[in-house]
Amino acid sequence: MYLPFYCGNKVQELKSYNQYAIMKEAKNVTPDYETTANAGVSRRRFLGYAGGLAGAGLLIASCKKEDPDVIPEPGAADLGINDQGLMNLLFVAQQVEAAIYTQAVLTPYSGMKEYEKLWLTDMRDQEIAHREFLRNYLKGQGTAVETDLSIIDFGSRASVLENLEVIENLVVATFNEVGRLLVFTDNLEIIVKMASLEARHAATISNLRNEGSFFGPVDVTGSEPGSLPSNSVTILNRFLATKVSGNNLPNK
Amino acid sequence: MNFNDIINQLASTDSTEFEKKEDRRGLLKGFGAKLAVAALPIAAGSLFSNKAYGQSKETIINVLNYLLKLELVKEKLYAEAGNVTDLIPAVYTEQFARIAVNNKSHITILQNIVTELGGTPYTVDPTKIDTTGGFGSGSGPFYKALTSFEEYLILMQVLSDGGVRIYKGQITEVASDKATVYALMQIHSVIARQATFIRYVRGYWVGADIKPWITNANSDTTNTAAQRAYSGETLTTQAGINIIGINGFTVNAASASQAFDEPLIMVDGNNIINRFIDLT
Repeated sequence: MYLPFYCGNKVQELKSYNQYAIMKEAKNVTPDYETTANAGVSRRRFLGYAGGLAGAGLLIASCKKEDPDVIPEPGAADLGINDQGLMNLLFVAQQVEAAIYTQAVLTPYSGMKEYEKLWLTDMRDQEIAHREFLRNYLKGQGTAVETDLSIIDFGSRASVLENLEVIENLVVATFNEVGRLLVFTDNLEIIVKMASLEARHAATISNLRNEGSFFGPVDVTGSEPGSLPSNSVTILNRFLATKVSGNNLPNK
Repeated sequence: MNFNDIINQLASTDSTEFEKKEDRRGLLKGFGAKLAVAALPIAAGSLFSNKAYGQSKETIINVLNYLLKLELVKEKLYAEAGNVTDLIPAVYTEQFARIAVNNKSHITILQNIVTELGGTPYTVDPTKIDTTGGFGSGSGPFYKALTSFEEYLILMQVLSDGGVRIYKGQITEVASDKATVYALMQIHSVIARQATFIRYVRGYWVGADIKPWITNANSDTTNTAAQRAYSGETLTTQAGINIIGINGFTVNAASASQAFDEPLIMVDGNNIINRFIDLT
């Protein structure tokens, strides 16, 4: 995402908020920051609905006088190399998953059944456990991202489950490829423990979306396809305000 | 058409699909070896402790044959279940057939890798497989599995939840053979999907109080013979990191245990599998 804005550029800032207001009206939604105290999520939602321009508006608003004149172009965050980069890729994936479940539980889609809420809440907590585990495992050197969930309509069961299925299938496939790309067995051992949970999630979501469907992308040889980091990064970026780059990750 | 006919028809997968897999395996193998060597000097300065193991071909063949034993027990179970009229509700025929077909494919994949590595794939006389879990007595703790759908589901849950943990325990044991790691990862997630299906049906059809994931070391059944598949699942610390309340988030002990499935080492896996075989 390109943000060529300057601190104190009032004109741009106003334009951003104006655009945001139009989008808000068009989508007929109330952004969370107006209804909840959860600042982390609300900012995510804000970026989500308003897009890059409004996001830039927020950045401008947060600028202080003593800040340098130019906010550096953020560009895509490089995920790094080798095992550490691969674990970082999984950390980013867990941030996306946790953010979606967090929002889905916070603002339930219409008609959410009791057991759906229970399972989505369980999955939220499991994804938060994965995310925070990886944050600590990476010793604070992982890439903390800002999500952008604007492609999901959280009021719509169909939209939430469709996007969750995309993400869960992607994450299972990513774990499958990362498993063989990792060099060190300690890392392999820990990701395999999480991989089956992701498969349980993928099957659960698939069945919620389409009763009786559990096996998603499993191929004719009974194997679940993998997703190379380059493909995973492309899809994850659809859910990210902070774009990431996997250009230096093992990818063959 | 009976259930086993459906399975056989579905299972007639074009063998070129498996050949394609073998081709891919060949590509991965070469690359994996180069990768490991090239990556080491850089990765050695990374955050993590640096255990990289090399396994012998014999070790890898032994692992694959152990997994084959599990899959052959399941194949016999699925075939027997297919012969029992009305065991499986018609509404679930498709899913159970698919599980059986995928199981046959997993057997083929494991056999192919063993052969490629120069080993001899494990075989067992099907008449020596005792699906009751009675070591050949025919009266083991799962003796009701072929007469009661509920009991059948419990046995499948043990073999799929346990199967996930058994694969998990071996993926690290073949870590030096990247192509085999990949093949096992791709099967491992499919078995986890199967376990999810079984757990769902137990909840939805039978009314069991059960979730799609394993909580603590609960087998979610009163059949005590199921317990071996769940022991050791209570961990709430991973790689030295406490998951409960991690970084101030409200992750409780149940969630912390659910979030990570634990591996079973070979001796524990054999304690689950061997009771289904008459070893006399």
